[in-house]
Amino acid sequence: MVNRISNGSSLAREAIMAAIRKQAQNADSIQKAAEKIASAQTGEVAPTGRSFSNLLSDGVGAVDSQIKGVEGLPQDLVTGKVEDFHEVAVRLKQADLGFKFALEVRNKLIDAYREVMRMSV
Amino acid sequence: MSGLEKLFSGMRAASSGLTAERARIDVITDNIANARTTRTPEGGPYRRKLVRFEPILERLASGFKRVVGVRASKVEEDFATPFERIYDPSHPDADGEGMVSIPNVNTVMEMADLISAMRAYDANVTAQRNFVRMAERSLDIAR
Repeated sequence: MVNRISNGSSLAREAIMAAIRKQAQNADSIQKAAEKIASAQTGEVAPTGRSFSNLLSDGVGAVDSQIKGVEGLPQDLVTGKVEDFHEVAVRLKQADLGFKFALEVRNKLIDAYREVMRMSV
Repeated sequence: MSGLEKLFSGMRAASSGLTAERARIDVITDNIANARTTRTPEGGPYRRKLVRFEPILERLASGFKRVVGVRASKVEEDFATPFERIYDPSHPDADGEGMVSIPNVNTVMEMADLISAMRAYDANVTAQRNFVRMAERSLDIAR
């Protein structure tokens, strides 16, 4: 039962991660296209700093590691590795908050992507 | 401390408070449970136990120290309060005069301590909840 819940949550996490990665790739390709257009117009190469998708995947990685830490909690709880009741609740809430913030960033990103796609050239 | 960990430092402080208060409650329940224990492996009746708290310090890069929470550092025995002596000749641990030393645990006092520990636990839970609420409210800005 506990295992099944944990499996479900890991599946959901994978799905969301995949969606976020896809968005990051999309954003990256848009950025590259924009850079190409810009360099074609001005004749110079745009400076390549840390790409946006790298930044995003770093952030996702940080939140992901937090969520991964929570994934083993049900097992820890029944095998007695958790020493305090509140530890479970606190770790769950931390992961929840981190995820909420990441989700909001993703939503904003998709909004921006849609806005760009709607632009008439 | 990573960037994300730093964001949750308030939460971890409140969480350490919960752990410390739980340790205090554990010791108080120990005291209440052993209020009539007249013989221990160390000899003599059970001696009342007390928890000592200390701040958790974190050294910053600048050399200063910062308090990041609390922990129950030590469980000490109460040597200040004397054992009570009662007259009970039928007691197995009674001495030649029929007197028995009973633990220096005052159950009423332990109950009062228990209430105060419970209230402190509640206060930490409230602090925790408010931290979460604050974070969620800040997220509303982005929406």
